[in-house]
Amino acid sequence: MALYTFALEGRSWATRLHPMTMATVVVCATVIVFSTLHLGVMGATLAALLLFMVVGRLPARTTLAPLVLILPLCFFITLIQTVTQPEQIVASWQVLGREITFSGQGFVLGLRITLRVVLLALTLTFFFTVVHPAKFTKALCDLRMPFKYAYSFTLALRFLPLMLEELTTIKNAQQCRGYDIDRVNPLLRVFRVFPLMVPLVLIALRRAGTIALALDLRAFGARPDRTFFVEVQRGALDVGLRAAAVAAAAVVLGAVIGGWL
Amino acid sequence: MTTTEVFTIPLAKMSAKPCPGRVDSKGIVSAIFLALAMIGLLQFGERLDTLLFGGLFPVSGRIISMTMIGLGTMLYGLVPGIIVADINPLIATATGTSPLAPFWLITNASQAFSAWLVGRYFRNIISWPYVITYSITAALLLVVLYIPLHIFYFKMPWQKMLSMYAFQTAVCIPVPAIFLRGLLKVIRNAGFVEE
Repeated sequence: MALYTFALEGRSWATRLHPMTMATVVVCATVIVFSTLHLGVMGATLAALLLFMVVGRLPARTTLAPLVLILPLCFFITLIQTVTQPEQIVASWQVLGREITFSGQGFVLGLRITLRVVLLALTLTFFFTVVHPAKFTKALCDLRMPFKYAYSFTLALRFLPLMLEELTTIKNAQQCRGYDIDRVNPLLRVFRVFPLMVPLVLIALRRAGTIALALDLRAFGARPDRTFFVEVQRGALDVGLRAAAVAAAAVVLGAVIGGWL
Repeated sequence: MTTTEVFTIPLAKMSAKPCPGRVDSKGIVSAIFLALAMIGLLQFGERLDTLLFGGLFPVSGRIISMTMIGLGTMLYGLVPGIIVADINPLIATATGTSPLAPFWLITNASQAFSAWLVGRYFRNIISWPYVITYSITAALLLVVLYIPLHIFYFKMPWQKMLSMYAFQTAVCIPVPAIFLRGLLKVIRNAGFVEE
């Protein structure tokens, strides 16, 4: 299930937060995550995020599901660190005349970077779990971004299932003509994607032309003072969350610059 | 006497400037639809990249993204090209499909920038020299952008990854160029090139 569907349902108080509050939290968490690999800091950040999930009554299954997708990435990071770091060698083998070493320090570093990836993934997941796409568009418009650009994300979310359906139709049509991409060697599949790419691009451009015409006929973007069905307002909670996030990022950054971390 | 055809960015309205490009409703909506087509086609590439190297050294995804982002920029100009490039990372983050997606905001945009930059030096962009030059520029720029990611985010020893970068670049130069040349010819024949 897509993360933003929870925001669409609006079942948590967190979905009433101003989108820029969540954006501030994401930026501050990113600053913290990138400034240090200290276990205490990363553990505290993880605890704060999980607390937000529990207090905000975010659905754990949906919110934590993307973490499964980062497992291969974390495995490769840890593997690369283990075999490439030169210090604290715990084992070594000769493979095809070349020495492969396993570093204890590299393994620990790999795990710390894994935690960093988890934190960043969780932060971004939270953003899209609680921010309603329409509110996101409104917040971007409030920041003086032209509506036609701000609206593009919502439009993309709206039409994504349609394009995926078109791709399935094209795939089935090509299968009927004897071209089954699912039977192609997975390693070579991307090189054989051209017979699907051409009709999909042509259909996309034709459909875009029709939709653009329909939008123009309904005076899309004709008036600069656009009205919105949804409203975004900053409350006391927004101010508190923003202040807490900025303070946490400043403390960690200060500690790193000062040499305490 | 022979005449040379002149096809410049943006192909969909060649009288417009390449930067910002065609930013009317048709340009924006077409860019969004090309981005959605790219998301659909990436299904055939991203899974393999994730399975092989966890997405650290994407090859299949890069081939498709270079083709589609290049096409979007060539058809509609720089700003719609950036829309084609940046819808995918936003959707990937919103649907929770990749932890590296936010970084693609920069790497994908660099491909649109490459197509626009290279396009300034060619009179006819529906040609082999242009698509090959674009592929080389975009592939090299991607490596340059990925090295800081690997160093600062993953603390990886980039000197030991040079063979991987070389492999990625070697694959990502010819294949997108061939795809792009084919797509541009089809699009020209289908009547999407205007003025």
